[in-house]
Amino acid sequence: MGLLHDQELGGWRAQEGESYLDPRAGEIIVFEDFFKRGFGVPVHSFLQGLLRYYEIGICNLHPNSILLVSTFIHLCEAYVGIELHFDPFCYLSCLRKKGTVGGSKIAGGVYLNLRDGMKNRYLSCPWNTSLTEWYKRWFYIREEPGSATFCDVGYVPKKRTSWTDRPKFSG
Amino acid sequence: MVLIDWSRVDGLGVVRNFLARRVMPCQRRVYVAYEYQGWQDSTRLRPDNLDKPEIQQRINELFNLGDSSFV
Repeated sequence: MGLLHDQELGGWRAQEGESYLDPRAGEIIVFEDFFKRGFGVPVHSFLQGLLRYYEIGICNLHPNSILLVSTFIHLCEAYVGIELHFDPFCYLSCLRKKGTVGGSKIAGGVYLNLRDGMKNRYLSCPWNTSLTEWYKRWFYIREEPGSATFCDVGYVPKKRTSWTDRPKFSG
Repeated sequence: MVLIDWSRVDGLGVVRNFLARRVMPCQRRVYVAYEYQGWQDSTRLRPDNLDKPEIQQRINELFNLGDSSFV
């Protein structure tokens, strides 16, 4: 689909028939569906900041959450022409843990969602579309040292107050 | 966000726009998106353009719309 630079330039490698996530040092785990939704490396500082704030890794997010972040970034930067800021984003959305039934608790174990009452105050869009078996299409990609996108593949996100804290914002 | 007239912009339009520009919003950029310079912009993933049916096909896939949908 033309979503990646070639393998050498892009620093990515395909999984090698593994049935579990097994990155090498300096690699992060990403999913094909992330790139279809506007993800790229090096990762935007806004997304890195969100990962730090919520204390999650990139592989913990569901692809639909990547789309929510991509759309917010593009709306602010390309349409409104303003600097990105956490407060409007956290005012509009919060992080939730996926239900306990089925699927991985690590890959896509959490998702960003518009808060109650925000659907009429933000972009109209079918944000939570059904997506099956996306977690089976992963690969590895090199990321800059110190990036917040690194994650421990054994880490199951624990709910934090930051996931739902709502900034005071009158906009 | 009161700056935005929500009746004139929707999520699908924003997604269509970044697909057409061939940029990845979650990727770090050397300058912000409102300084986008068209097909020769250095932040594009590729210089070639996607045609409208291909963009629509990607939109349909992302939002589980029917193959014949055009929004």
